Amino acid sequence: MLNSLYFFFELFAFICCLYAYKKLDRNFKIFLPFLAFIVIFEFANMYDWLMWRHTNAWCYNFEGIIELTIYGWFMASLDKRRSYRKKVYMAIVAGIAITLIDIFLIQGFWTLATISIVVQNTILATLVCIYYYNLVNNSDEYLDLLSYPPFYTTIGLLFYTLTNFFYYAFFSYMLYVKNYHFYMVAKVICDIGCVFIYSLLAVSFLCFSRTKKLSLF
Amino acid sequence: MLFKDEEVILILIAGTAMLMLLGVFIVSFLLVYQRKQNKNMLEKEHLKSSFQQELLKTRMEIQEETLNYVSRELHDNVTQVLSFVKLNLGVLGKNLEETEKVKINDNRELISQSISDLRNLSKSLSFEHISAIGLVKTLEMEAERINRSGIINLLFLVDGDVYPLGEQRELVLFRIFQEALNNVLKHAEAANFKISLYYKPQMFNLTIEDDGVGFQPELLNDKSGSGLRNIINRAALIGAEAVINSTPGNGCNIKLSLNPLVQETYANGTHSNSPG
Repeated sequence: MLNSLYFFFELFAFICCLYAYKKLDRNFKIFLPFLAFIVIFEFANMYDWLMWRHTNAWCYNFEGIIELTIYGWFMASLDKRRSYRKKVYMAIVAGIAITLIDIFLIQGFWTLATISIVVQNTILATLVCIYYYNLVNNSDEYLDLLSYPPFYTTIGLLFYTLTNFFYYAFFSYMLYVKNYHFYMVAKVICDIGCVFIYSLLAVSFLCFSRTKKLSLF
Repeated sequence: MLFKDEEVILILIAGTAMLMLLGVFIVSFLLVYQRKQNKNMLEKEHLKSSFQQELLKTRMEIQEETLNYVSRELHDNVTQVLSFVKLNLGVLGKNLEETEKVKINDNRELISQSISDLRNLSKSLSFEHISAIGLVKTLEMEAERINRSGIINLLFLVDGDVYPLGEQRELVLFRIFQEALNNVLKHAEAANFKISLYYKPQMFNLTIEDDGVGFQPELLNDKSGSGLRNIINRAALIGAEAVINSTPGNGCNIKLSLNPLVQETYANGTHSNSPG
């Protein structure tokens, strides 16, 4: 049960997204197909259905590309400036290019592309920090952050990328030495990251449904 | 080797914890900063609205001073001169033929009517007069004067037990009525104008309706519709809420609601329900 804790959070976020779908802003609607994919993907992995040549690292590499694309696109959609959005798209393309190079030329197709995962996390964490910087500097209207859905999503994303950063930076080395303690720590860190991102995504979806309901009265 | 691995695990845990702390710091900083920014923004908005209200009050005070001056001039100067002219005509008529006497008397009557109209006009302009006789009586007199002139058919209704609203409020309500009437006469091409006062224990309502050409509701946001905006601003000044509804061809309806129990403090420190 505890082993698949992250899966329940993913499922919870998906259900919340489904529940609040009609009331979601346009840029949040992308999370429904994305979370559906994540739930199916993790479910398949729980039963090792995606094992190919005794490894499922190859599908996690591609999942990383999808995550970078979706979260990157979402971060771009939070800014109204076209020039800034263009820069974010360029960063996403660069991240994808690095990932593909890592998969096919550096670490290989059958191994987890940890270098690219660290790069992806760095890109996403940077985008969140830039978003916060812009939020502080450019907001010219009254904003209640505690009921602002993008704020929760970005917090989740920030903590998700920060928790994963060191874990993937040491992953290759620790896998090489096959340390049991590392396996435990890795599991805990991964679960914490998933809890952050998916619970806060769920909160942001619920914020939408709450806002719309209040406006009815 | 094991020791080295443990060290790496420690670095991993410490590093992750540090990064998460950094995240917590960033989010907390953002929350605190945003809260302060929101507070500043609210204070700024509050100052802006206070300034606007002060400006409006000052404008109204100046307007009242001017109207009072005009009222006094009409009453003390113009009507006095006209009375003198009427008296002179009477003296002159004594030495004339019968046919000329009739003409002189006709002129004297016209002057009497003018004096009476000017006196009524002077009363409707005077703040002191309105505060002395109250809103209902002033509106009654105004309705009578307008109906007598034949410009428009004015219907005045009062419902409920009349209670004083405070002279400041009554004056503002009367000026709102004048503004609305002025608008109707200038633009509405209306045949009928209705003003109703509803006195309830917890709420006072004033409704002004006309059957004129009406206007597009967007005009309320237009800069050219300053008369309508004045009505809303003036209502806000006495703590009332004014709602203006109109569509082309359906006349205009102004509804004003006011809680008589809530006291408003004015710029000079007086209260709306207190004298002076």
